[in-house]
Amino acid sequence: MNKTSYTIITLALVVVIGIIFFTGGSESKQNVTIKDGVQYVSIDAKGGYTPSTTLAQADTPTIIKVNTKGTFDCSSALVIPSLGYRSNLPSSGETVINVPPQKAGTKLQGLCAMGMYNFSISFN
Amino acid sequence: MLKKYIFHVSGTHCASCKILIEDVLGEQDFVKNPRVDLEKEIIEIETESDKNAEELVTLLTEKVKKHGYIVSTEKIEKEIKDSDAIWKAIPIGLLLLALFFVLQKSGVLNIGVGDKTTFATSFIIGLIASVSSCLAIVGGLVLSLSAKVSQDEISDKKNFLLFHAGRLISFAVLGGVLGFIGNTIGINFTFTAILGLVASFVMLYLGLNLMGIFKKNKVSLSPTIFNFFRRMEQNAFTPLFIGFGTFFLPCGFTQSMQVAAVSSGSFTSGVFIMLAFALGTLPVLLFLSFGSASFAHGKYSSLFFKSAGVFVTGLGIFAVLSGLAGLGIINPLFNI
Repeated sequence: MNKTSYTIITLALVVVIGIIFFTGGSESKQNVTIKDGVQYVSIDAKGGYTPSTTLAQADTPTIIKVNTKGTFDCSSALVIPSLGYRSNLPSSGETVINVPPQKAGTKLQGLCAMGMYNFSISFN
Repeated sequence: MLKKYIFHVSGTHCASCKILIEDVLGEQDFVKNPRVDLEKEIIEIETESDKNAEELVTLLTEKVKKHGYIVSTEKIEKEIKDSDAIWKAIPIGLLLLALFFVLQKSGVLNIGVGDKTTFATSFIIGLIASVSSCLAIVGGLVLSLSAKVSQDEISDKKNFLLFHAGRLISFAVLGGVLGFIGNTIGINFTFTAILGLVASFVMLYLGLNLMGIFKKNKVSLSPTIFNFFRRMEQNAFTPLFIGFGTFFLPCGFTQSMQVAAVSSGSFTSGVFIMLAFALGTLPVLLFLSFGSASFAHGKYSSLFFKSAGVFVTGLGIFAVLSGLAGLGIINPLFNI
């Protein structure tokens, strides 16, 4: 094979890697419930965070419930920078994180300590 | 009477190599006015010795070999083959990267192993961890260091064994300590994240080096620093210490196991959890290190070094970006 074909293969592979990196991510599903004026956002942590994007109400006290089930990967080392939250979640169980009411337009970002997985909650 | 010789010299990697070679050879009684031309990779000497060219070459090589240079009568034709290899190496390295990230996205690695951490589950988690994105840092580091050590033709097998032994022993002992103390004293997020970033930059450097990028541009590294690294490479303590250091490298699985060791409540169970985990990661890491050694001494060594370089550079970029995101310095760019 000559250099041209190697270049074509290289470009094709770059596109494939680009697709792998920048697509996917589960869309928002019914994971927000409001009970007694408190908003509950539930997130599953195992091999990443599901759902990866959540729409929530602004100006409402919020509780994030992170569910782990046999989670040993990076998603168990959760960091939410804007809340100063850093914790190793138990491998199985539910972790509750209190979030004060957020202004409309705020985007709360959580990620695993090594930065491979992330999720975000947008308030409006 | 004074005779003039021109020899080829290989292994020159930096501008200061000229000074180093001229210094070392200038100290020899039989060598007069050594002059190195980096561009042409030749060395000119004058001598009163009546030895023939071959004998002189052997003598001169003896003096500079410990600094990584080789003097020869014929030009070592390596660069020409190398420039061809990079064309094949880039797609090979990218293909490996694509396969690796497809594996991460596929969810195959999310198999359940139950909630209890026993010796068996820790071992299985180790097996999974060794092919997961943990590999991005630990495996990438092992691959690039192994390839580099093999490339420099230092006693590689001994170094690999020391590294793996150091790793197993430190995991067992530190696991025991965690179980005994019942607290992750000293292992905090920022510390591991910064250590991970350092490791990622080492990977990037080694990856680019294996691809041969630094060789071409002859990036200047002062001889003192270069010799320091060379001595480090030859020191038996270094692989042991790097093995020890992998305990603190950021990897979600390692951290989960550390938490499990902490909550296990005793020295012995801490030892067993961390040792089982390290044993689980061993097959892939052994394959990476000894695999690179056998490739390095084989027919396709040049292609192997460059492909490994591309792969490791890719992992390095990935690790640097996620490490920076983990520290909150940049926004996360991807979800793998």
